[in-house]
Amino acid sequence: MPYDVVVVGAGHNGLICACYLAKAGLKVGVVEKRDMPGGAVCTRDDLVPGFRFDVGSSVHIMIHLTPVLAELDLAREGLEYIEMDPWAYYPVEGTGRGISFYRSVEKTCESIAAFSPQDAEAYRKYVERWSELNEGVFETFLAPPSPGRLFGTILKRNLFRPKSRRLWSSLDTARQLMAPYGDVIHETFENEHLRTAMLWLSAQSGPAPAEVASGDMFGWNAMIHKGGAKRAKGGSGALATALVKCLQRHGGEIFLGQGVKEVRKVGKGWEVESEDRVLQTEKVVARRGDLFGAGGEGGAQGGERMGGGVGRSGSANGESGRSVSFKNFFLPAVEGWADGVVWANGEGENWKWIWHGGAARGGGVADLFGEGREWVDAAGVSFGHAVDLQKSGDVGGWVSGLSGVSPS
Amino acid sequence: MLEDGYRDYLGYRPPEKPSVIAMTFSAIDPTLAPKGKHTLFTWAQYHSYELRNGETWDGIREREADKLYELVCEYAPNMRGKMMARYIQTPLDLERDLGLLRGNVMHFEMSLDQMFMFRPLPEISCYRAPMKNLYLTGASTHPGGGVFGASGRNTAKVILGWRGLGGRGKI
Repeated sequence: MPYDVVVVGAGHNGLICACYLAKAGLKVGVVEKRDMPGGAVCTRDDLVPGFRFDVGSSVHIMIHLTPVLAELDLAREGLEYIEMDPWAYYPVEGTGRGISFYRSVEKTCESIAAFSPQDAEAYRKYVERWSELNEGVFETFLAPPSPGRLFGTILKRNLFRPKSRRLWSSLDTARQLMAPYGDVIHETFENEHLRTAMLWLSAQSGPAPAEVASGDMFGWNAMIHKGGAKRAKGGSGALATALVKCLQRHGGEIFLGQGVKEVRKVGKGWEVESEDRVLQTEKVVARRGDLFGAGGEGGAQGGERMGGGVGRSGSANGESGRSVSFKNFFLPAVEGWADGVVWANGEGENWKWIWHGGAARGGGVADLFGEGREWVDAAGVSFGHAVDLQKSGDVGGWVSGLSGVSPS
Repeated sequence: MLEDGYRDYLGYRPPEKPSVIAMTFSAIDPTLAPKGKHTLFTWAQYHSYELRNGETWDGIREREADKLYELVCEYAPNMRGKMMARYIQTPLDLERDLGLLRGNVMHFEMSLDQMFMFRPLPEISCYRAPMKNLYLTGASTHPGGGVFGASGRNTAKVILGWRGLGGRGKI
C-alpha cells in the first residue's frame, strides 16, 4: 500500500494528526480541496493589497495549553507567537474606562477593582476555583473520551490533590456545572459591567447564557490566565504553514486543490479519489461533516444539533432525537461494493450501511445511510432523509445518530 | 444587547443590535498591514444561518456588516470614515468558503450533551468511524472547536495505538 494513512482535509486537526503520524514513521498523504492549507486556520493576503486577513480563526488560546506546539517543534518551522496581554478589554460606555483582562490575575483584579473592589476579590476566587476544576477537565481533553477514562482521569487527579477532590465532591460545583452560565455569572459577581464582560467572553463557545448545563463555559475563562491568548505572527494561517512544513520534514505529502470525490473500500484498504489522483491507503482520516455528509438539515444527523448560525437554533435539527444507542462492537464488516456504493450488513438484522461516494462538499466524501432511506442530493446541500426512525427500536438500536433527521 | 441579539437569532432574523468583539491585530503584529494602517477584525456571535424574515444572507451582507462597523465606531468615534476596504463573511460564506456547515465554527454546538463521549455521537466519539480503518478528527469530535489540535493529536494516538506518539516501536 503506497500510503499508511490518507487524511481528507487539511484543517489544523487533520494536519496535526498527519504530522504526528508522519513523525511516528508512517507514510502519510493529506488531500485538500482548497488551494490553501489550514481550513479555518487560514490567512489571506489577496483580499486587500498590502494587508493580511484571517478568514477563519484569529486568536489561538486552547492550543497553548496542549503539548502540540512543543511536541511537533513548530518553532523550528518558523512559527512565532505574540502574546496578547491584555487579552480582552471591555469598554464601559460613557466612562472612557474599561475592564482589562491580563494574563496576570493580579493585574486583572486591579482593573476590576476600579469598578468593584468586592468583585476584584470574587474574580480572584473564581480563577482559583475554576482553574483547579478545569485543569482536571483539560486532562480529559488529551485522550479519547471513553466514560471510564474520563472519570478515571478526574479520580486519579483527586487522589493526589485534596483541593481538587474537595471541589469535585462539592454539590455546589455540581449545581454550577448544571446551571446556565448566565446565572453562575450573576451569582459570582455583583458589578453589571464585569457581568456583561464575562457573559460575552463565555458566549464565544456558542451556547447562550440561559442554556442549562453550561456553567463551565464561564468557568473555562479562568484557564486563559494559565495558557494565555496569543496571535501567530503573520496571521492565524502561520500555524497551518508551519504544520505543512513539519509534515513535509517527516516525509508526509500534501495535495492542494484536490477535492475528494470518493472514498472507496477496496480489498483491505481504501482508495481516496480526488480531482486528478487516486491514493491507495490502509487507513483514512476525515472529519465527520464530510464523512457522513449532510443529513436533513445541514449535516446534523438524528440527535445532533448544529446550531443555526454560531450557536444553536433550538431543536430544528434535533427533532427526531437520539433514538437509541448502538454498541461499537456491533460494527459491520464490509461485504462488497459496486458502482461506488459500499454496503454492509449490520449485526443480526436487516439494517444496512450504505456507503455512497460522490458527495460534493468541503473536502467531501461520502454519506452513510440506512436501508430504506431516500437518497436526496439537492445542490450538494441536503442529502439523507430517514424513512422510519422508529425502526431502529426493532433492530438493536442501529440507526441512532447516523440517521438522517427528517422522518418522512 | 447580547440577549436581544440572541432573541433575534432564535427568531431566525439578523440581529437588530449585534454584540461585537473588535480586534486590531496589526497593533501587535506589524506584518499584517502597511505602516500607519491597520486591520480591524469584528466578530459577532448569534447570527442565524437560516433566515425566516424573507431576506437572504447574500442580500443583506453589506447592511449587516455596517451594523458591526457602526457599533465599533460608537465606542471608537475616530474610526468613522477611515475604512479603506472590507471583507465580509456571513454564516453562509463560512459554509461555502470554509465548509463550516450551517456557519457553525464549532461544527456542532458545544453543549454538554454534545461534548466528551457524546461528541459527535456516543457511537463514534472515540475517533473511530463504524468501518475498519476509517477515523474521524476535527472540531466535531472531542474536545471540540477552536484552534486546539487536541482532536488531531488524539486521533493520531488512536491510530498509532501501542506505538504511541513517540515513533514506531516506542510507547
